[in-house]
Amino acid sequence: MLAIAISGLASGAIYGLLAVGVVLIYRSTKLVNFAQGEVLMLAAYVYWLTEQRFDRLWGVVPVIVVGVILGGLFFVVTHYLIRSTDDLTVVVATLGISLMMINFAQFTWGGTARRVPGWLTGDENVRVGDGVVSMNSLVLIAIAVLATVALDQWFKRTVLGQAVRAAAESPESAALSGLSVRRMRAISWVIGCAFAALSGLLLAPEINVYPHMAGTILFSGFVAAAIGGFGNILGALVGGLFIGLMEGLSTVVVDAELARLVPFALLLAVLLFRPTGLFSGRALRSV
Amino acid sequence: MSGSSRFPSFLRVPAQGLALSAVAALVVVLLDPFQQVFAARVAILIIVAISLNLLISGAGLLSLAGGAFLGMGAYSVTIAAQQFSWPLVVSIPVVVVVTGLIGWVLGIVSIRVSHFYLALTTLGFLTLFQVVLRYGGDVTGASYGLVPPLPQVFGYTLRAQDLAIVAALVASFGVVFARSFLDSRTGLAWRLMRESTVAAESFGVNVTLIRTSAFAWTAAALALAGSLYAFVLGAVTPDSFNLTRTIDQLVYVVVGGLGSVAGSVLGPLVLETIPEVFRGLENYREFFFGALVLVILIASPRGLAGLLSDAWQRIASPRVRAAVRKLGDSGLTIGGQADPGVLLEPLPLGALDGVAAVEYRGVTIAYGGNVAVDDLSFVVRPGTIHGVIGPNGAGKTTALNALTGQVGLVSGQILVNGEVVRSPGGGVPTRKLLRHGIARTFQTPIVIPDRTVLENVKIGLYPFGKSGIIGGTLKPPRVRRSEAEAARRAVAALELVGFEREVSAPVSQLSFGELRKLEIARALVSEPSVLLLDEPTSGLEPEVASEILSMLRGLQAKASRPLTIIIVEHNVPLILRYCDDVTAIAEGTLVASESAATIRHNPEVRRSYLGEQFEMEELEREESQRHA
Repeated sequence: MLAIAISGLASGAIYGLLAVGVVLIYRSTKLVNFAQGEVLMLAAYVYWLTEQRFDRLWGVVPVIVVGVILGGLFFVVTHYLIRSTDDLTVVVATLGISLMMINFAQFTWGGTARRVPGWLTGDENVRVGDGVVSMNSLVLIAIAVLATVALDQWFKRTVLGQAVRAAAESPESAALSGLSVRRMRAISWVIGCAFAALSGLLLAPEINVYPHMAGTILFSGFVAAAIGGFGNILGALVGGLFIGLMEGLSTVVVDAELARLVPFALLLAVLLFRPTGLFSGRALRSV
Repeated sequence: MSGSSRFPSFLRVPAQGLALSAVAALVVVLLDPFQQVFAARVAILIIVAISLNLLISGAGLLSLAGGAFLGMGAYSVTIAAQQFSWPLVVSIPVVVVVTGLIGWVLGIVSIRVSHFYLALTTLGFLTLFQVVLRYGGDVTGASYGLVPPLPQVFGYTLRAQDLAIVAALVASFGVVFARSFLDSRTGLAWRLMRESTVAAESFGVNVTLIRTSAFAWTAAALALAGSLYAFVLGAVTPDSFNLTRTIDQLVYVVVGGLGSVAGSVLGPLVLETIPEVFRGLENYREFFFGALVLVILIASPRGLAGLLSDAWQRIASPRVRAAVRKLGDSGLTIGGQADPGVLLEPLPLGALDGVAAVEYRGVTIAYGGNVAVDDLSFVVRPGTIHGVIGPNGAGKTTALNALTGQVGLVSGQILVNGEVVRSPGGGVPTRKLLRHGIARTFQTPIVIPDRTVLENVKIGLYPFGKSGIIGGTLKPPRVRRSEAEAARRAVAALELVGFEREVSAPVSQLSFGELRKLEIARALVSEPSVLLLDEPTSGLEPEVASEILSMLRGLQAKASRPLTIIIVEHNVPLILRYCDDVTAIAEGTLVASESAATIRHNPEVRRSYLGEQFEMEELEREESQRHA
C-alpha cells in the first residue's frame, strides 16, 4: 500500500512539475502550451544520449539547456511569428509544434523504447512496507517539491522574480514603471520549459524513453493546474501530487482504465465547491 | 438582402443549399471510388469543423467533447443496425435527437465553468465516453470496436458513391445553414456572449439558455456526422474518437479560420488533401502536418480563410468592393415610416409624469466585509442628463452596477419609473432591463470586432426580436421583414448619434470615439427611457469628448418622449458643463445631489473635485463661446 502511494506520488510529482510550467507560462502570457509534454520527451532523449557517452550525473546540464532553448524558441514563435490576437490560434500553433517534435523523435531515434538509469540513483530499488519502489521515484518527489518551493521563493524574494510576477499580474503598470514585459514573458517561457525538461529527466527511468512517452500526461498536468487554482505554482504542485496519489490508490480497487477518470472526478468535485480551484485567491472568470 | 428575388424569399436559403449540394454531388460523381471514400471523409470532417467552429468561435465555448458526440452518433447507429436491426431512416433521427439532449445536459452541467475549465470538464466527458466504450463488452466491442453492416435504405444498399453524395449533401446544407445562422439575431447573440457574458445579458441574451442550446445543437450536428462516419470508416473503434482525433478536428477549425464557415470547409480539405498528395513521405507525415499548421498560422493568423479574404481584398478593384459592401444596406429606407407588418415586439414604455426616472433609496453595497456604497439616496428627474461624479474608488461604477444587477444590494432599493427594479436579494434580471427601458454602455466598449457596424447596433434590439435558431437560419419572410426593420432602426440610431462611417464597415476599423458612438447608438436603438453611460469620454481626445456630450444634449431635443441620461464620469468640468443635475459621491457616501448650476458652488465639491483655484469664470466663458 505504501509502495503504491509512493509511486502514485511520483507520477503526481511529474504532473505537478508540468503544471508549474503551464501555470507559469499561462500567468504571464495567457497562453496554454500544448507542447509542454514534448519538451519533457525531448529532454528525456537528451538524457539518454548524454548518459551513453558521459557520466549520467552530467545529464542534468544538457537537459536544462534543452529546456531553456526550447522555451526561447516557443517564445519567439508565439510572440513574434504568430501575429494573432486570438489565444486559441497560438495554442493550436504549439500543438503543431508538438506534432513536429514527436515525429522528429520518431524518425531520428526510431520508435523503440530506450531504457535509462535513474539520474542520481541508477537502478537501485528500495523496499517500503510490502512493496518495492525505485529509488528514483523518491528522488523525483523530493526534487519536484524542492524545485517548486525554490521557484516560489525566487518569485517572492528576488528583484527579478518580483519583476516577472509584476509583469504577469498587470502588464500595463509594469511597462509604465519601466519593465520590459516581453523580457519577463521570455523568462517565464524559459523557466516553464526548464521545469518540463527537468520532469523529463526524472520520468525517463520510470517509463523509458520513446516518442509518445508524454502521451496524455500533460492533460493530467492541466487538471493539476486547474485543481490548484490555475495561478498558483505551489497549488499546481499540490494539485499534481494529490491527483497522482488518488490515481495510484484507486488502482488498488479499479483497473488502470477506470483510474483515468479519477483526475476528472476530482476536478468536478473541486469545481462543484470552488469553481476557481482550491488555492486561488482571486477569481478567474470570464467577464 | 440584395432584393433580387428569383426565389420566393422563404425558399432562398434551402435553394442555396440545394444548389451547393448539386455542385458537390457532381464533383463526387466525377471521382473514382477510392477518391469518393476520401471525399465522403472530408465532407464529414467539414460538418464536424463547422459544428466546432460555431461552438468555439460562435459561442466562445471551448469544448473537447466533440469526439464523444461524433462517436455517440457512429456507435449508436452501428449498434442499432447490428444488434437491433433498426432501419437507418429511424435510427439516425433518433440518435441525432438523443445526442442533442445529452449535449444539452452537458451544457447544463458545465454552466458555471468557462474557458480552460470548460475545456477540461468536456475532456473529462470525452474520457468518460472512452471508458464506457472500452468497458462496453460485446455491445461496444471494447477496444476492438464494431463493424457496421452495409448501409441500407428501403432495401437499397448504399455504395461508396452514394455515401459520398449523402455526406456532400449534408455538408452543403451545413455550410449554407451555418452562414445564414451566423448573420441571424441568435447568431449575433452567441457571438456577443463570446465577447462578454455581462454585455450579452445587458442586451437581453439569456446566457444560460444560449449556452445549453449551443451545446445541444452542435452535439446533434456532430451525431449526424458521426452516423455517416461509421459507414465511411467501415469500423468504429474507441481510437477513432479519442482526444488525438478531437484535437485534430480543432486544428482543422483554427487552421481554416476561426469564425469563418469558408475556413471550416478549407481546413479539412487542405489538411486532409496535402498529406494524401505526399503519400511517399509517410514516415514524415506528422512532421509535415505540424509544419503545415505552423506555416499557415504564421502566414495568416486568421487561417486559410484570412489568407483568401486578404487576397480577395488585393485583387478585387475598389469598385467591386464598393458594390459588395452596398449589398449590406440596400433596400433600407432611412428614417422612413415603420413597416406596419413588422414582427418586432412593442418597445418599452416611456417615463410617467411626475415620477422620478431613477431613484436610489438608502442603497448599501458591500464586497465581503468592505462597504463600497453606504446608504446612498438620490433622485434623477425624468428627461434630464444626470452626472455622477467622484474620485476613483468612490463607488460610482459600483452604484451603476447595482442598478444593472452585477452587484447585489445589502439594503435599500433602486426604482426606475416608479417601479422597484432592485432590492436586497432580488429584482429584475439583467437580461430583462432593456424591456424595462433601461439601456447601458460599458467603460471599455464591448463590441463584436469582426462584424459590421450595422450588425453590432442591431444587437440592441435583440430582446424585441422573435426569430430563434431555426427561424434565423431559414429566414422566412416574416424574419426577413423584422431583420430589415431592425436594420432600419439601427441606421436611424446611428444617424441620431452622428455616426458618419459606412454602416457596413467592420467594427475593427473604427476609432475609439466611433466605438463610443456605436455603443450609444446600440443602447438607443430600442428607444429606452433611461440611458446609463459608464465613463463615455474616458480614453477620448477632449474635442471628441465634448462632441459626444453635446450630441447627448441634442438627443433629448430629438427624442419623442422623455429620455433620461445618467453619466458616470471622472471628467468633472465636462459634467458641470453639460449636465442638468449632478450627484457627487466620495468614499461610498453622498456628498451632494443638486443642479449643476448650484453644485459648482458647493464648498465640499469644490474642495474635493475642482481644487481651490478652479476658475468658474473660465468655465462660463467657454460655455458662452459654445453658445455663440
